[in-house]
Parts: sequence; structure tokens; C-alpha cells
Amino acid sequence: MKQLSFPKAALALLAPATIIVVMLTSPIGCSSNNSSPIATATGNIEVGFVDTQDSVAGAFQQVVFNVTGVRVNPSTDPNVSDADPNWITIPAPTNFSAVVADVQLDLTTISGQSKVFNTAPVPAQTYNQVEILLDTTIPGDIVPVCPQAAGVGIDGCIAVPITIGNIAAGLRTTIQMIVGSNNTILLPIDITAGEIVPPTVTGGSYTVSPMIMPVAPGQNFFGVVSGSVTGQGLGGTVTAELSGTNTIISSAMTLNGQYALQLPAGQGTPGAIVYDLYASSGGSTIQAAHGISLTGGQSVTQNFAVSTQAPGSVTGTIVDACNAVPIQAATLNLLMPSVENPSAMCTTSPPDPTCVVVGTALTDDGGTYPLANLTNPFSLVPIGTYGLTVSAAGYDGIVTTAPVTAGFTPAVCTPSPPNSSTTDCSFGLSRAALSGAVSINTPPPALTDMEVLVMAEDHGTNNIENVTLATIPSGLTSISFQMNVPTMTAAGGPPVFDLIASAVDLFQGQPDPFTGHILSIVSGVAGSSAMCATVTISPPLPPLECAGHGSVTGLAINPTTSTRVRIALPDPAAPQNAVQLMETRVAPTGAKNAGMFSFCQPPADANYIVTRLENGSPVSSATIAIPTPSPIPPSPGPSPLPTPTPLVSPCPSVCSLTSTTCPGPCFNQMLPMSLPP
Amino acid sequence: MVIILLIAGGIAGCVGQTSETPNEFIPPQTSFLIVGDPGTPFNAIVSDVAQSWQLTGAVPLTIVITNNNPPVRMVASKLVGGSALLSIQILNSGILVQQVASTTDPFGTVSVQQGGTLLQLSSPANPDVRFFVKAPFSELFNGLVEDQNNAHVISSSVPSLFLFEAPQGKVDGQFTQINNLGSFDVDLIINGTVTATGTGGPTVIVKGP
Repeated sequence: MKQLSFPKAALALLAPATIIVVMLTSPIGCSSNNSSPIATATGNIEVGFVDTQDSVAGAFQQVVFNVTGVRVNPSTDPNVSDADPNWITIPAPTNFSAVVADVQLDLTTISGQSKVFNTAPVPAQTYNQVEILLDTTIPGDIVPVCPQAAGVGIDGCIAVPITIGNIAAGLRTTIQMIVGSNNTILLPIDITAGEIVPPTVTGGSYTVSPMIMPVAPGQNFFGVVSGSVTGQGLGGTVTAELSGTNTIISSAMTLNGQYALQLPAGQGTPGAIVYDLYASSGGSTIQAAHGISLTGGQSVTQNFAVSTQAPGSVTGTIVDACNAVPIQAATLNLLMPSVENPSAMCTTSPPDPTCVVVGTALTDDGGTYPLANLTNPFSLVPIGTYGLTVSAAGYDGIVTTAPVTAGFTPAVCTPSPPNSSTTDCSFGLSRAALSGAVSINTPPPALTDMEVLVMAEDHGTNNIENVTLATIPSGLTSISFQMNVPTMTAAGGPPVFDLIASAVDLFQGQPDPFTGHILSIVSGVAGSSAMCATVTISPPLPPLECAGHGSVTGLAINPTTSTRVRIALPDPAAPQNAVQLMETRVAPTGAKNAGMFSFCQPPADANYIVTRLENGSPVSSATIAIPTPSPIPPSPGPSPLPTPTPLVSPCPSVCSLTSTTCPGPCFNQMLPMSLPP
Repeated sequence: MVIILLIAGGIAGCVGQTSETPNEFIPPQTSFLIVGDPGTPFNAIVSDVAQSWQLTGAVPLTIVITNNNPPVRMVASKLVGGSALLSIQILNSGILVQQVASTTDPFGTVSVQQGGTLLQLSSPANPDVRFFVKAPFSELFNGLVEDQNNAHVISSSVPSLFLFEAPQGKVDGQFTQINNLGSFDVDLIINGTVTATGTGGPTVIVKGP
């Protein structure tokens, strides 16, 4: 008889928490205790988070809470028991998984800008109490920036777990919500980190006392887009995505020809977020709207008019044009003109920027799309002519025309790039390749390795084309790699790349979110316009060396939601070329710490260049040096503060209190000037 | 209890199998959830102390290593620019999130680890045996994947990728839908080649060569 294993994964359908079991056997949002009668009428609660206090900007690189759900209770008693049977839970989005995953809420990303958590049906009634549910096993973690003084405090740019200091009090608040039948009520929750107490012993955790509260009167971080949809069939929806992308923010069912979407937006014009919307259903045409700008508290009307239309499909297979190997997870987008610009060309390369993505599909392990799923937009495309874009990391993208006809005959796309089919929308994507090596001067010790992430981006930009992971095994000082890259830039010019190699380090045995090795960079590497050709990187990537952690903080004056800050590093072999590394948003004007930003970057011989951008264009910059941290001096006794501890891996975890060669805790570098607009 | 019914179905599926094994150590399993903005493509490497697997996929995806040897680590990178969310989570006992890491950076990279410190990535699995349950989307299913010596009762949601570590001899898998949302589409992939497929439902059996 075979030995059976009871898989840990099998228990994904069963959980120790009662509430999860209930969700699997009854509709989401129903009471966690069946002793209370469940109202037959239901509405919806849309939960959003914002940190209006901007409680962590500049002091921490990340402050992350792992949220499993939000629950509401009709009781007027703020001290209603946790076990009260009338709690109704709005869980974290399941992402179609059998297990409710954690949603990581990073307060640095919601400073002055809201984020939708989830929308779920609840019994139609009045609720008064709101509580956030954090993962009790791993409530979250903090990545601090480097301490302000050399050699003092815990190392920065490492992930430190948190302990919640005020579970009973801080995560509950009183907010009255009147949920009517078939109505969607917005529940914006203001969450702040509260008191943050750093660890005092090696391997300790931060103690955080988060607080939630209603968003203060006069502050509004959501706006509403609503209107009518005429001619739409049953089950129709209106979907909102970030303008110019296929990133869906929210979707609403059309009810009696009307819809309403409550979408994140910031304060005033500086806080405006721009959306594209489209109305669709299985049996009607699609209509799209482009560039709807929304500020907090604003209501915008956008009407749609569609008509009955039979559906067709868009299918095919995407392969590598060089070797016919299927490309998995290639992205295909259907485009159509918006009502504002109905004559826009969505079938040319590049498509008109006002074209709207109205459907997305991915390829499976055989390169085939779409996956068999009746709700997939590519399986029910209204008859008409669409633009179709095909993209995959490291490959030349394709823009083509997808003429959708009725019935089961799939669209045959035109024009026909190389290796394309004449019976559907199959394509071979062209590409070239770069080959090179990553190296270190000191080989990894026995039973360890060094993993290095290599990224290729278009020269002089931060438009990354591809990424690959190379592993240097123990005893060796280098390893070769090869990665696919396009044969042309997005604008159609010859390919030139900047390469960045970054070590994927452990710190105290755990994955370190930021590297402790210097960045190895090479700029201006000419690629090949010849399909399938391989170019050897020249000059080679410099060796990676252990340097410890580092951070930079600064201030951008009078920021808006279009303000971003970028950090770059000059190529040592060609100092006139600054290789762009990372960009970050800043909290807009009105937030408590508006304009503050931080970067975790390792020490370097050259000065980093920090540039302020407005609407993507540079407006001001400053330079800053990040030196190697001072080694930890020998100590007669155990230090009470967390410091790198000895492990086999060489950097940065191998440092010990007796070592004078390993880098110690980093210390923060403050920009010498604020960045003006 | 739902789980008992599932197990009963799994045991029934074992009856009549051709292989026989003595009672031995029950192999463990490790599960990963890849969640975030649906459709976000990613590249990942998953490794335990014995083997590693490279894979490409898109959010959402459940990855299960059957017969694994902890500690185990996953390193995943987004394959798109933009601010789409990629979040990887390790499940303990298939239920509780043990570790989670997320990124919204363009081509951002995240890493999670469980069961200790994995100081080096292992050699690629050889043979590399995978069951990819890719349709119908969001269907819950249970089943059995087995080799000549061991059988693993499984339960998950579509899409799921099962990485069968160190299989002994011929492998096969039986999958049964719970909600009957549509036709199964299951691939058995050995060393990068789809060697068998199973379509239809509510139960499919996929047998290796």
C-alpha cells in the first residue's frame, strides 16, 4: 500500500480560524455566527486605506502591516466583544485562491494617497464599529533607513519584524455606515503607525502601536465617477484602470443602466489621479473613456452608450522567433479608441496614447492564450476591429490589428509579423541577447553561493527590458549569464543598454530586501539589431564587493502627485553616463511630511545623483556620497543593539563584534539641499 | 468535516494503482501563494536543500513542492515595469501565511524563506516533473499525485503548479473538481516538455510516460 501524505496544501481548504471556514461554505460577508438571523437584503462596503498623518515618511523605507481583513459591527458599543456574533468580515481579496492571502499594506505608499483594500457584500444595515484584522503570526515588518549617527542603532535597509503593542485598542474605531440594499458604501480608514519602538536586542522586533480612525472631515481621498450605460446587456460592468495601463483599480456592476465607481484620489488638483474607463458586457459593444482626472471629493459623470453585438474571440500562440520555444506569461492587450478621440489609431506602433486597454490575456506554459475561461475578455470580444499589443520581457513588442468576427472563428491578425499564423493571432517575437559574467574578488565560502540579479535597461532611462538571476557557486569568483533583450528601442532606434548587477543578500540568515554589495554597472552597451544575435557585454561588469548598507533621505519642496524622485549612479568607466536605479513618489502637499523621500542604496565610490521629476521631466538635482560604514570596533561584551552576526555567507551577515574588516551598521546621508520644483 | 470527505475521495483514487511501497516517512509539502495585481508576469526560482526549479508565470498562482526538503526559498522578479503588485507568500501547514514579501517596483524582486536558512540554491531538479493545473480558472479541486513509492493527496485552486521533487519511476495525477466550473486543463511537464495532458472533468487522470 502506498504511503499517503496529507498535504499541507490540502488544508488550504480548511483553516483553524472559524471565519475562514464560514467564508468557504457561505457567502462572503455573512455573520461569523449563524445564531443571528442574516438579513436578506445586502449592500456592499468598499474599504480603502490612507495615512493622512503621513506617519512614517523619511524615517522608514517601509512600514508594512499584513492585513487579513476588515470587520464591521452594528453595535454602538465601542467595546463590543471580539466574540460578538454580529461582526461581519470583509476579507482580503482572495486572488481566486483557496486560502485568504495577506494584503501587505505599506504605509509609505499610502501617505496622502488612498488605496482600495477590497469590496464585499454585507447585510444591508447600519454599522458603527470598524476593526482591522492583522495576521497574528506575522503582523508585519519594518525596513528602517540607516540611523542618523555612525555606528549607533540597528543596521538600516534590513527587514525587521514587528510586534503589535496595542491590539485591543488601536485597531478598532467608531465609524457609522448606513448600508442600503444594492448600494455600495465607501469606508475610508485613516491608519497611522502610531508609536514605533525599535528593538533593543539582537534579533528583536519593532513594537508598533497602530491606530485607525475615520478620515477627518474636510479631507477626502476618494472621488466618484458615475453615469449611465445605455444598451448594455445583463451582467455589464464599468471598469476603471490607471490611465495608459492595464492596471485595474476597480470595477462596478451596472444596475438599471447606472453605475458608480469610488476611486482613490488625493487632495485637490495636486492629488489628482487619472483613469481610463470602459463599459463592457458579454453581449454588447465596448465603449471606453480616456484620461478622467479625479481629485478627492470630486464627482465626475461619464456616460456610455453601447449596443448589442455578438462576440468573437482572439486566440493564438506566442513563441520565440529564434527557436520556436513557447513564451509563457507574455502579455496581450486589446486596445480601442476612446469616445474623446474616436479616430485614434490603436493599430499602429506605437498606438495613440489615448487608446484604452479593454482586455488583457496572458499566455500559458505552451505559449497559448487565452486560458480556457468563459469570463476571459479574449474569449468574448464584441465584433469589431481592435489594436492588439503583444509584449514579453526581453522581446520586441508587436502592435497589430485584430479583426474580430462572429462565432467560433478566431480573429486573424494583420499585418503578419514573422512566423505569424494565417488562421489566428499567433506570433513569433523577435529578440537578441546579451551575454556576460558577474564576478566577485572573494569566492563564496563552502556550502554557500552568491545570487546576483542582472537588469538591462534602455540607455539613459529607467525603462527595464529584462532581468535575470545568476548564481556564483562556492569556490568560484564568477559565473556567466545570458539574457534576452529587444533588437530595437521602443522608438524603433538601435538598442543600447545600461546594465546593473545587484547581489541578492541574506542578512542574519533571512532575505535582505536591499543589497549589501556595491552595485556593478556598465552603461552604453550596444545591443544587436540582428534577430537572434548575441552580443558580449563590453566592458565587463566590475566585480561586486561587500560594502554594507546605505541610505539617502531628502526633501522635495511643494510636491504634487506627479512629483517623483529618482536616484542614479555614474558609470565608473564612463562618468558622463548616469545609470538610473530607482524612482519613488513623495507624499503630496497637504500631507504631514509632504515631499520627504528615502532610498536604500549601497555605498559607492562615486556620488549618487538624486533628481526631482515633475510629470516625468527633471527639474532639479543634487549629489550625495554614501560611504562604507565604519567597522564595528571590538567590544568586551555582547552589544545590546542588533548588529550583523556571524554566518557563513560573506556579506553583510558575516560581520562579528570582533571583526574589523566587515562593514558595521550604516548611517543615513541627508541630501545637502532640498529639491525645488 | 470537508477535509475527511476529500481524503476519502483520494484514498478511493488509490485503489487499483499498480505500485506498492512499504510504509515509510510521509513526505512533506510546502506551498507558495503568488498574489497581487492579476496578470502580473513574473520569473521565479524555488529551491530547497535538494533541488531547484525555475519557472515563469503570472498572478495568481499557487505553487506546491511535494516531497520537499526544507529549508526552502523563493526569489521572484516582476517581468513588467509599472506599479503592479507582486506578492509572494509561504504557507505553513497549507493554511497560515508564514512569510510574505511584496513589491510594486518596476521589475521588482522579492524573496521569502521558510524552515531555516538556505545558504545556497540547489542544482536544477533532474528529472524536473511538474503538474500544471491551468483551467478552469478559480476552480477548487482535490486529487492525488504519485510516483512508484509515494502518493500525495492534494487540494488547491486553479491555477496551481505542483513541483514533484525526486519522483521515483513513473508519475501520474488524478484531479477532481469541487465546483464544476468547466473543463480541466492539466499538463504534465517533464524536463520542460509537456508529456501528457488531461482535459475534461469533473475528474481527469494524467499519466506520465
